[in-house]
Amino acid sequence: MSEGFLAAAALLPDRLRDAALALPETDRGRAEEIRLRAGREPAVLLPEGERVICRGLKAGTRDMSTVLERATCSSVHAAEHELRRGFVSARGGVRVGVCGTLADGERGGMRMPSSVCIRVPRQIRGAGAAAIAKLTCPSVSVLALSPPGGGKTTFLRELVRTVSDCGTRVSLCDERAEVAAVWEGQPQFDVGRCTDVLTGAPKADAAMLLLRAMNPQVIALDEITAGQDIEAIEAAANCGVRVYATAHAAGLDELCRRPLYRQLMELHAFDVVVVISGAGECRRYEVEYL
Amino acid sequence: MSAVKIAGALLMALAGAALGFERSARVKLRARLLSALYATLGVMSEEISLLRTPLPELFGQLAERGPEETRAFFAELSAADGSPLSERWSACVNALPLGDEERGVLRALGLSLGRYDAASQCTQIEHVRAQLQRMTEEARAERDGKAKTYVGLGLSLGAMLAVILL
Repeated sequence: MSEGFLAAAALLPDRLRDAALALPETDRGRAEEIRLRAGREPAVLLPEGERVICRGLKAGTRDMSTVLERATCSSVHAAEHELRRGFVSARGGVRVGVCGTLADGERGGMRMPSSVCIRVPRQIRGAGAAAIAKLTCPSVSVLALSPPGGGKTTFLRELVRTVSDCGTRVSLCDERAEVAAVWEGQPQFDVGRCTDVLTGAPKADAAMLLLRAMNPQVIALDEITAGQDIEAIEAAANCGVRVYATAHAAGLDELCRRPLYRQLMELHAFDVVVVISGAGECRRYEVEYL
Repeated sequence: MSAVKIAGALLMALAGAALGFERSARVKLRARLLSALYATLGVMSEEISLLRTPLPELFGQLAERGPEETRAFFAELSAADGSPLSERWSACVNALPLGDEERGVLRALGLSLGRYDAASQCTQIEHVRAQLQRMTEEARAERDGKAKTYVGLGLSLGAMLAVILL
């Protein structure tokens, strides 16, 4: 049985876990997420769409509190900072997205969760291997592009792991704990033997801290979404450090149409853009030199 | 007077005294335990509020460095067996040498422990501490008033039985 699915299902209340584990093996192996919504039947997200886990079995807010309790080892208060940003990392690389009511605006904690999305962890070794081989010899700064859910994070993880295992010091700014999924100080995904991971800090602060503290040869950042992220890339590039980053876009043209990313491209901080398209086994990695 | 009679009377006296000392020790232990729980919950509240310490880590710390009276309680709690914390907490509370009311207050805390944000968690703990404080004062009053009485009664009972036997 898929270890990732087992780790994800372990967070469910007993009656829902039993139902999830009773799914056919093929579905368990392909499941990307387990979703609970208050008053609705729990579902698994498969590549072709959502499928109800068990008819007539409904999830309640108490079930979602149990998921959070299990994900945080009975310490929801310790994950408050993460929860305010809508997710919490759990054992085995599982990431739990939470939706509910934020008490007292941004300063309060998440109360009454109404939806929970348990992401099934999966490290796809060898993803984009042919493209990565072109990028590591000689080593270059890389920007990976794809639409949301298109495999950017998986590609970045593999790129980081490959160069790190070759002896390059990589500092990874893992703001949302998606790339390395650090849990109790230890990455739950293999990100290479020479990788230092900083989790939870905004990318701009994290990049400066890592440049000062860890003497990296490469800085990796997932999902450039704000002006401060671009400043972090500029700072890293100015220090002579290679940069690996990802951004939401279907291609270079779409990227350059957006003012934020136009600003990014004007920095000339990247040597190569990798455009990821397709899904599953049909995923394609096109390398474009700038 | 036979040696058997004398030995029997001595045993009676000792049994009475032991009963008195045991009752007295129980009253003293209850006061010490409640006081230790009050202090420990204060530490928990501060750790959660200031450092957001995860509960398994906090229980481990209290099992090692907390007051003597509560170390075994937290050691048992930190030995995670995969069951929900509320169940483990409830089982550990039930094993404490306390009265039903005191156990009830502590069990209620277990239902919310680890499920809410720090502010809510600390509010719950402080609510329980307020009740424990009252119970501790009552237990101390009982200890001061009754501990010596129990010893005295035990000794008297033993002596009386010994005299009757002789």
